[in-house]
Amino acid sequence: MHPTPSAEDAFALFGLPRLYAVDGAALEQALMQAGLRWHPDRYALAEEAARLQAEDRMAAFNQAHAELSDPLTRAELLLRLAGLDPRGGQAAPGFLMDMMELREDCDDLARHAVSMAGNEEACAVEARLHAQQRVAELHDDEMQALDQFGRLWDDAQSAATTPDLEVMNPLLHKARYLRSTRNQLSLALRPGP
Amino acid sequence: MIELPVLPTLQADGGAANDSPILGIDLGTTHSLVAVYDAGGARVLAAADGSELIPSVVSYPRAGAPVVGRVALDRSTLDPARTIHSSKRLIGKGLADLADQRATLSYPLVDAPGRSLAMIDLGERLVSPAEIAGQILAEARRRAAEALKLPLDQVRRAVITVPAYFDDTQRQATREAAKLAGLEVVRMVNEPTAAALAYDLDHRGAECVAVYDLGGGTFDVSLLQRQEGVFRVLATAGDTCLGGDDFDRTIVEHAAQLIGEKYQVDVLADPAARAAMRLAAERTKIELSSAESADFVFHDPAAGIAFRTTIDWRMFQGWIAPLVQRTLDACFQVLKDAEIEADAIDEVVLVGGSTRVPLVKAAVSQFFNRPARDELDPDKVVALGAAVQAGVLGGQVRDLLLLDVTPLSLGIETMGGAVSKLINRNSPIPAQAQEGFTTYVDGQTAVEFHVVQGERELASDCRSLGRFVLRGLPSMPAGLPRIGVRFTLDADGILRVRAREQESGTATEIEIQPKHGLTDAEVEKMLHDAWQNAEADLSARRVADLRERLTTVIHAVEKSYAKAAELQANERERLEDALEDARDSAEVEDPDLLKGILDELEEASYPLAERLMHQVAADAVKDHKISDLIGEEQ
Repeated sequence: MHPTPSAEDAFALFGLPRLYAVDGAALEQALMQAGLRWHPDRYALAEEAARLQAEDRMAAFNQAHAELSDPLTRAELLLRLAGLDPRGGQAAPGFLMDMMELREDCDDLARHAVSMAGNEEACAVEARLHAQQRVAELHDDEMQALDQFGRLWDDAQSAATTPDLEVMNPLLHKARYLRSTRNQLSLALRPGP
Repeated sequence: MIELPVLPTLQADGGAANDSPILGIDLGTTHSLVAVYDAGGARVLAAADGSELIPSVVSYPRAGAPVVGRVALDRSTLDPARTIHSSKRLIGKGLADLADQRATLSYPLVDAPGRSLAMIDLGERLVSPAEIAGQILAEARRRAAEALKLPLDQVRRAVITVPAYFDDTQRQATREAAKLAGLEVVRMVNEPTAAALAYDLDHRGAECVAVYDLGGGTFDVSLLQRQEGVFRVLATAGDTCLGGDDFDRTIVEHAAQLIGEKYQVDVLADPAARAAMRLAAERTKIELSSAESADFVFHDPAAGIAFRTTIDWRMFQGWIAPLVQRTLDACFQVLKDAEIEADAIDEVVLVGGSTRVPLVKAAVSQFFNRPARDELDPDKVVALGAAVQAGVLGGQVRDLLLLDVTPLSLGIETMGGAVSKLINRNSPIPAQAQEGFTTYVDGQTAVEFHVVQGERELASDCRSLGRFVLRGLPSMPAGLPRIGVRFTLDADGILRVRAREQESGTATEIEIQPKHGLTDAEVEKMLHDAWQNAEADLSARRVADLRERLTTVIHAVEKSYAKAAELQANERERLEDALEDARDSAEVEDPDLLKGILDELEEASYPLAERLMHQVAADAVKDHKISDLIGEEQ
């Protein structure tokens, strides 16, 4: 179930350098420009072929924008474009054990918060706040791992050296685990069914 | 396959077609509107009598063509089981999804044969919600042709609004409905987005706008960011089954309980009573928007019920508070999805008739911590925005571009019933995504894909959009085939799925089938009929409408004629004359003459309406027509 490489190089599509550090404002601006040029609304009365082509182009820009906006998919794309496997490499020793503990801990938090829900008392509010705080922490930890990846990658690029995958792949593994744990916890805390 | 005559093309590919207007249509739960963008800007088109709202009601008299709008609404209590209201809430839903609403629906529902999709049971045939929507759209189209003084065949393109939270099935059904009405959908626009466009034309400047749209049957909240001429939707959330109808239902349920206690009857068992209770509850709700308390009145002489109760705003607020809280939960979600704090919102805009309810207005203002704007008529703002978007697409509005998102994630069911998401909710549209899959059994030559939409982790908790099979895979060990699945989502939010085995080149492709309970042959036949109807003379249509309306009023007067004894001699004489003229009008074909007869009968029956009202309440009834009252009086 590996995602296939995207049809186009998202960096090239937006005219951005192949680096982890992305100028967010420039990316947003480029998407706006793409919209003005390619959005199907601009071709509403054009011939069908032109309309469909515009739709394809705009969809490609939107997909590339999403891929570059998310630091995790951006990091994975950098590896793929360099011909490397973003899911390869060995997990660091003890890593899986740590992550499983983290997951269990979060499950407990969620269960606690949910079982208290509807309860007006202060401890219910506290349980929920506690769980939400953990969501924020997971997010920070994930960003930290990704930023570390990004620094190593960009430094290697500017020094024209090969990045050390033994160090970098575990960072991506960690970021992915942290994200799925965070998603799980947020989902459990969502109001409604 | 049925042979059909060749239909004139609906495609706008140059030539005269491009001179025809693009309508902006708000297809609402309780009412619809049609607007255009022309030299004067966006404007709502009115009927000859000045009315702008088209009640989203279709009634099927036992003989003759269905009637739509005001005429149909007037038949609500007269023919409840064949008068279809709030059908937008049924689109794409099964009976199981609608269980708690059936208490206030006056018509019977069944599931379409073999699938869980609600259809209306008229006895002699089933009608799909998409067909009802098609009738309403056809009415909007006729109204536009009349207002613009164009022949009907020159009015055939439209921008149609849908709730932002509509899923693929509901969007497909809407597109199908437009086809039935002889309209090409140039673009489907999300309702809150359209509203933001309407507001923007007058007030340029705000950077980040929240649109809170609570209509008769659906709720949406969207966050938009404006940057120069580009309007970008950041996130959207909502509920396609939450609206003013649910507010009404709280009143109906309260009253039904009191009536049950007093008279030992289940008043909601009778469809006519359900329709009358619903209309009475709606009136009570509207009064409560500007008064501290309001009376709920229900009479059913046949059952010996003469019921009246006073509802004060505190009680009403208590009933609707949980519903309003659900909308605030969605507001919270949308802020979270957009990663924006409530304080960063520059402007909050209220859309939809239900935002007139004071509790709603207050709760929204409090949530976003700023006064919510409502200076544009909340009933009209979506239609006006649809017209603006029509202007954008037609090239009259050049400095505006809309970038919208899909409300729900799209994915494929994987082994074990989990969902692999290909397109996440709030992705900008048009969108595309690819994912690789493989087999899990040696020698497997076919793979089934189950396409789902929704946020839940298990496919069984999401909406199923369709299943398709990729056949003819070369026999290979498990895990070797590389099957690429590609999703493309167009600018209307409609999905197309392609699958391809990369080694052998085996490919299959589907556009997710619309699931509105119609077969292709039925759609073609209806399309054919719709086209013929569309060609029908507008004045014949008007005559039919007037005649239907006349029947309704005659019925109302006859039903309450016992009270005529209380009238003064001159009043009674006038009423009798008017009634006689009305009964004798079967041969009249001139619409203006018919209109005269109808107006006279309505006016002559005012004194009778006043007497009727006296039985119940001392309220002033100067503006009440007798057909408005009969619901309370039967």
